[in-house]
Amino acid sequence: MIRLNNVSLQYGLDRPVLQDLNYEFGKGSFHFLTGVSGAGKTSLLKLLYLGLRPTGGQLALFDRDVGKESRDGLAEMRRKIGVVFQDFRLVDHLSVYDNVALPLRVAGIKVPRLNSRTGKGHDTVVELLNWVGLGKHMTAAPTTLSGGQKQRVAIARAIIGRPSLLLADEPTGNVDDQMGFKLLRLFEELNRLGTTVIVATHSQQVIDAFDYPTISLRKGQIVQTRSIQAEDAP
Amino acid sequence: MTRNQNMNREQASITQDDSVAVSPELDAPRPRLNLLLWRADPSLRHQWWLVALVAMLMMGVVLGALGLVDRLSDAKRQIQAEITIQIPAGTQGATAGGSSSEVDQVFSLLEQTPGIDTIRLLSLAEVQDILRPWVGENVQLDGLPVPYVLAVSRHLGRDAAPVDIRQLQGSLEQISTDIVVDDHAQSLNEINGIHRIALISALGCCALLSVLLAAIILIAVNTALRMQRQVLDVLFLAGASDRFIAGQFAQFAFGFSFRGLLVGSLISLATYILATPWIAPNWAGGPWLGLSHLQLGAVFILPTLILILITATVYQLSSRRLAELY
Repeated sequence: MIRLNNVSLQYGLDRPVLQDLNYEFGKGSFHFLTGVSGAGKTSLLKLLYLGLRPTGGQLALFDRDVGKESRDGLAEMRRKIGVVFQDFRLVDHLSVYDNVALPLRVAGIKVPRLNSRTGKGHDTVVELLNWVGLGKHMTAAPTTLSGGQKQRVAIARAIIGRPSLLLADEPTGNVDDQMGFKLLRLFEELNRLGTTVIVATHSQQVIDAFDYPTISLRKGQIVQTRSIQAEDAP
Repeated sequence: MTRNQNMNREQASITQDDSVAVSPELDAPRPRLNLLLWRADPSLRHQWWLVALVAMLMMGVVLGALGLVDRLSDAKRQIQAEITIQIPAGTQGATAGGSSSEVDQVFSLLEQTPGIDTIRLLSLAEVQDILRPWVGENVQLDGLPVPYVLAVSRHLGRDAAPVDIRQLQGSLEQISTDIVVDDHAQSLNEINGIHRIALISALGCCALLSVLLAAIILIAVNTALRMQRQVLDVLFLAGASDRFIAGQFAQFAFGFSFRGLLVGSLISLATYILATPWIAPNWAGGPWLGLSHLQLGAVFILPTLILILITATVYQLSSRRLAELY
């Protein structure tokens, strides 16, 4: 699914933020990515969601060499990836329904406008919003939602296109603990449906609560991996 | 386990959380992808009026200049179509306004000259009317010798033979060396000068206003590109290609410009149609609400060209910005 082969990343002439990373994420796996601030978690996720190309080594995603792909090729690959951020990154001037429908519309799928009276809209969008418990807030503006609700909108948007890979950067950072665990259970559910999940977090409490392999980064290098038996389980 | 079962199970665990105090409904979303950038940045919402204002000024300049050019062209055609022949009075002892053998000879010469359509001898009163501004109201013209004046019109049209003025002048000199042929070349030169000044001024104004118009739109779109980083990030992460994202901003620029250009041009057109009979009642005007074909063409072609150019420029600008950002 994802193969890192001596992957390095450097911004300009600064010292590398990631150095000689070697790792392979199996298809359908669930991983935590941890490390202190500045360890390189976000930079690694950026590489994985194809926001950057590695400056050294080889990164292969979906059996394709990222370094050799064109911009259009990367965009096409990005459609198979869902990303959830700590700061949600919702489009505030679009409704919850439109935010979630955005990836489908980008993919060229016709998504009808939501009938605000009957609640009728695109089946998958409506179904997914009901699934994440936001069926009653489809016409709401994101700015009126709580942190937990915003994060669920972000998750719904990330998974609406049935991505093969779901990346989450500190998804529990802006929600309370209870909501954080609920969100992680949602990720588990998606993982059980076959999606490869990588969650970057610095919360040891979260990592300890779930039994998944963990990759620890320090100063841009993998310093420790905690493997468990379930690693290769679908 | 089916997805629905999963969803139901998950719903049970995830829905019991904080509720929203206020959930105002946004305006109905559009069926196709439309980022509604107007809504994203309220400052952009009314800027199309600025575009409309500049478009109105630009179309006003264009319509006015083309109207003037039309009028000058008509005047040129009229002047070009006529030749004035002056037979000085008294050359054969003739009195003003009367006929003479010289006049008869000139008449018969003109009748045989190719390219001549009509010949008319101006009456004494007509000639005196022409002279009146030059000699003043208080001078009694009845006692003065005035020339015979012949108004000669040329054949117009592509197949008509041109009148050879030099040859005509030579033939007339054989009748009398004092006969003057005026093909109005000096007046034509003056009109051509005014024509050129009007055209250059109009083109200059039009170019300046077009640049201003383009600047307003490009600044608005550039601002949107910088302000809407969040939107760009979301589209980028959703797998939108550069072409797609640039297309969204080009679509935004198109809508923004189209509305402004349409409203501005219509206001200008209406003002021109309503004001022209009042400002210049003698202007004959064209076939459609007083507009000439040239004016009609400009009304449609100019805004369309500007629209195409702006949309294409915004597309390029957005593509370049995306390449810089990601």
